[in-house]
Amino acid sequence: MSESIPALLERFVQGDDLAFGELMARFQKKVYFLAYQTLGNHLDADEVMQETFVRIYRKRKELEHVANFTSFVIRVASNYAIDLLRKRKGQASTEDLSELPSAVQIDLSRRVRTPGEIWTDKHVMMEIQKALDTLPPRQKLTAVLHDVEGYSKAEIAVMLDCPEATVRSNLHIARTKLKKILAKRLARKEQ
Amino acid sequence: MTCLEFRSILDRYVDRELSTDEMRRADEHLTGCATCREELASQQSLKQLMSGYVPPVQPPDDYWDQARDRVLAKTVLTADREQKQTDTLVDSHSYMPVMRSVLSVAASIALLAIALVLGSRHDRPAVVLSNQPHQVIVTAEMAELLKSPDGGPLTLGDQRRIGQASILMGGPGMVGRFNFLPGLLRIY
Repeated sequence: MSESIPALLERFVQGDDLAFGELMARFQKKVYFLAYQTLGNHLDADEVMQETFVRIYRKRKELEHVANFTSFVIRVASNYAIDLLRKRKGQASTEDLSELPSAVQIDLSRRVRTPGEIWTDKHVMMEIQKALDTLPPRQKLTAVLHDVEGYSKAEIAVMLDCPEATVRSNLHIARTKLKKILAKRLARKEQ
Repeated sequence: MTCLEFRSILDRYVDRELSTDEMRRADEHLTGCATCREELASQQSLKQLMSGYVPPVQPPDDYWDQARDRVLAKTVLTADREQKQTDTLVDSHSYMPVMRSVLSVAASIALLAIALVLGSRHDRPAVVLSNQPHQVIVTAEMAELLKSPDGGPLTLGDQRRIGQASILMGGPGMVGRFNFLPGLLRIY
């Protein structure tokens, strides 16, 4: 039976580096994909993922008082991703799939959540990614965390360190913009 | 419920956050409003589309282990190395405070010894030369050295050398107690 997150966290706080490795193994994909959805390319997602865990390691002593480690990890990752986006003046640099080596491209057929659905087509995913890239950092993160990752508005408020009303407002604006950009795709889906 | 009211709760409707009463009123409005039904369908499609979103690229399988190793190299291994370096530095410098103490004590003893030796060589009080036109204070040793064979007044050259010696040796002060200095200055 795998060890619980609080138990691993307690071991890590007490100086057990093996527990840190295990925590990273459990959260690294979550952080990577969140960063990818926010920044739109592998190099930046990799940087966010690594820097997030380096920062968490350095904050080891503060973790004793952290009630929700998942929220804490996403908060650290979100802050760094927002910093990166600001450095790029809010412009995410989405990769052109045709330029990526085939080893890096995902075989979407293996990741289908509902086999047969047209939404698994990677070009649809590219459309969504490009639509997300038009949003300001916080709106983008809010939309990803809520509509893609499924976190509640209250959880997102903790992760992004803002009032829940701000989360609602950012989500509403993000959805309105995404609906406009993805209008053609949504119309096809509704038919 | 008006269309405007419905639009203001659309997000909460889609996210299933409405109370039973709000939901009933919204559904009543939807029954008679095609425009809001369309808006709702669009919003639900977007939510469904987003929930099925996965990044279009994924790193190769070995990426995760490699990335983890890189993070561990920056954190755990670096911390170990820094700890070892600190330990080594502590080991190599651990004798420094003791050495400083030993050297301080040794220096204090040496200064005390020098003071005792010098002090022991000055066992006579300073002397006021009485046979001079002006009062001149010198050490007893110098007074002996400066005695003229005929007991007469000092020559101008003698006085100049006494002046130099007084400045350099501090008269009856500490430096003046070095009785070899008059010899070096050829005061006799």
